[in-house]
Amino acid sequence: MNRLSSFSDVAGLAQSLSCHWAHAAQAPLAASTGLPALDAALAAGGWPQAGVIELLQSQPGMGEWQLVLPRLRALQHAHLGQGQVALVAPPHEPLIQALHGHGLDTTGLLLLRPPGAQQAAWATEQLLRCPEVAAVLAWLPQLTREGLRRLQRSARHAHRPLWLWRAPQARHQPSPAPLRLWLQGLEVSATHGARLRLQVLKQLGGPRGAELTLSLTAPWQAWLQASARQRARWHAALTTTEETAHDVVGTAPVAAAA
Amino acid sequence: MTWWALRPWPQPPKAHDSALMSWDALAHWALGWTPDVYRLPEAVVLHATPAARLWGGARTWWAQMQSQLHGLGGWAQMGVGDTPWQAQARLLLAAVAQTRGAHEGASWHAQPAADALPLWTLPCWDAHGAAWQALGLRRWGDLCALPRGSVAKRWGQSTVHALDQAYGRRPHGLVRLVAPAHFDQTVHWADPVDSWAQCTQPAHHLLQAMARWLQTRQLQAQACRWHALHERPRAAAPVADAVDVRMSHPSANAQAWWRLTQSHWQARQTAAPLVGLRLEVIQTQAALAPSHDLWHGTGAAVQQSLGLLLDRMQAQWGNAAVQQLQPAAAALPEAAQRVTAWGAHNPAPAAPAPMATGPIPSWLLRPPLRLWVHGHKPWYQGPLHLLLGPQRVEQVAWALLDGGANLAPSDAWVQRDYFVARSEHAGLLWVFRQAAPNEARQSRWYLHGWFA
Repeated sequence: MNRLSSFSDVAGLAQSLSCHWAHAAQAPLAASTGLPALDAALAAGGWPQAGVIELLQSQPGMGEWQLVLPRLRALQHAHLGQGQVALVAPPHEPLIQALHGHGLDTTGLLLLRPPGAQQAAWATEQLLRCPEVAAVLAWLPQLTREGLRRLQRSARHAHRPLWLWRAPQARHQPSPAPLRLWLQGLEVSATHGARLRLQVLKQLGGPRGAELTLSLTAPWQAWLQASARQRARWHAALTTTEETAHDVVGTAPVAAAA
Repeated sequence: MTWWALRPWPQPPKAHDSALMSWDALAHWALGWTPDVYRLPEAVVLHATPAARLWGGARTWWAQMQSQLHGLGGWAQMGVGDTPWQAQARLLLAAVAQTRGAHEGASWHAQPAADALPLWTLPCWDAHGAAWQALGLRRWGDLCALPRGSVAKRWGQSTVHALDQAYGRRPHGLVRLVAPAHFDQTVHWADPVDSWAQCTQPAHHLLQAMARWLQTRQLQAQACRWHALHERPRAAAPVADAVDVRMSHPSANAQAWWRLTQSHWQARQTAAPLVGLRLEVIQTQAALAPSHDLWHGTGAAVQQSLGLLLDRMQAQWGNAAVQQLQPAAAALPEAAQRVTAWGAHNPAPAAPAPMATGPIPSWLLRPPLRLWVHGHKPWYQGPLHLLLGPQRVEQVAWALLDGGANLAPSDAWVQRDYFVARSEHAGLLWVFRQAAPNEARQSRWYLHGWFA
């Protein structure tokens, strides 16, 4: 006889059912982020396949490209190498040498600079409907709640992800996005190089609030680590010869990257 | 053999064919349905028998034509006959009936036989009508009953030919109409309007006419031009007011053209109130049937939607709103890539060349931001700790920093030492040190990018 003996069983059943329904609602839920640590932290196992992915960060330059580049490469590959990547109102100009070095095809990179927040949201929504655009990345700090809902609906309808950057203050507002990450900053240490500190604010079918530190796979990571080792050796050499003069700019103990 | 004769209703004034449904417009519209279109003095005739099966039979076809005409805001009368002239004669009878009033015209709708058609519907009536009336000849049949030889002797061989053609005993000898090589149509209206936005209805008609013309000629339009026609005061010269609309990927779709046109119009003001609109196609391309690939959809059609969207954005927000990045051969990072407007005819985009040995950031700050230096250390949201560098980049450059104002020609040689710097709050920065102009011993620090 199959009986539910306790409350925990009921709760477990409810959870498994809700997970099941969530899976049934959108068939392949997620695609790998290309960063194993992040995949493991996300309940779906990667970026959602459809819907808005909110990335909250206070200023550009927190490893956001490293976070999305592996998936962008995969999406472009799925478009037979012809998919265009569209950036709506990016905070700065991306350096195509760097993106190309990361394996992204930059010939079709589109930069859209609409004159206002409303127009930027409209452009984002329209781009989601274009089948030849492989991925849309949008920086919309002034997006309204209605605008966000509308973008989420469009992204789901088009069955594609939309990476959306907003300010960290937006974390206090409710959001329909299936995944919200708060990029808190880059930690640079001698042993690990640069690492990205982030918090999972919301994820569909998984716990929230998890904080993790991601080791980035950027090519400059190796440079940093090599320089840190070199610096440690310099430092050791300096302390043994009891030289205390330490001028960073002039005679810097800065490793010339060979 | 069935022939249809059409004429626009209400009848346009002959002086200028600028009404919405003019003779030319009707003929072009008919060309969209069948290539067998001919022009008679009082009608546009089309040979219905061969094409009727393609449109699901004559009745269905006429219903479709009527509904489309109605949608265009026009109306046409039709007469049916075995020859072009019989069709024209019945059309004229129907027109007379309509002007006299429906109740009186009821008998005319009985579709008289060819012999019973009145003689004034024959093309040679103008020359010999008075004589025929004097002889008491009223109907085609009356003339046919006379001996051919005496008819030819009295009124010329041409009359016999015309009669034979009208009865279908001789080939009709008409020349097929073809769509003109250039599309240039005009719509006039009575009350002047103040803005482009109020021209929606006539613009629709013109675009649909354009789409039909493109379809007939098997073309796609790449660029077209809207001319605003102004009320002209007697003294003033006509004001030139035209809007060029250009598509990156040619299209024959009226809807697509309308969307792009709207975007252009939103950004424009008219110089004076409008009393008419003229549409001209200035660049076309042969329409190629899109090849269907293995995936659903066609390559060309898919390409079009993004192209059209970007065209609209550029039309509304200016060319600078849609940008692309082009690699260039230069050592300095800001010169190594150019920001170009999308759709500009650039040289084929090449893969960017690796700039230099050394780490390259993902974000570039343009122009570089001069940093405050405190205690020999550059500051940006706090002191910066240099991790990597220096990496020297040299290039002859003019006017790269400070808009070129502070650069004397001798400073054209730019020499920079790039560093990767760590900030407590701003992550990993790309900064460089450059000798200050005119002060050889001082150097300035600039922020030039972020590693992201």
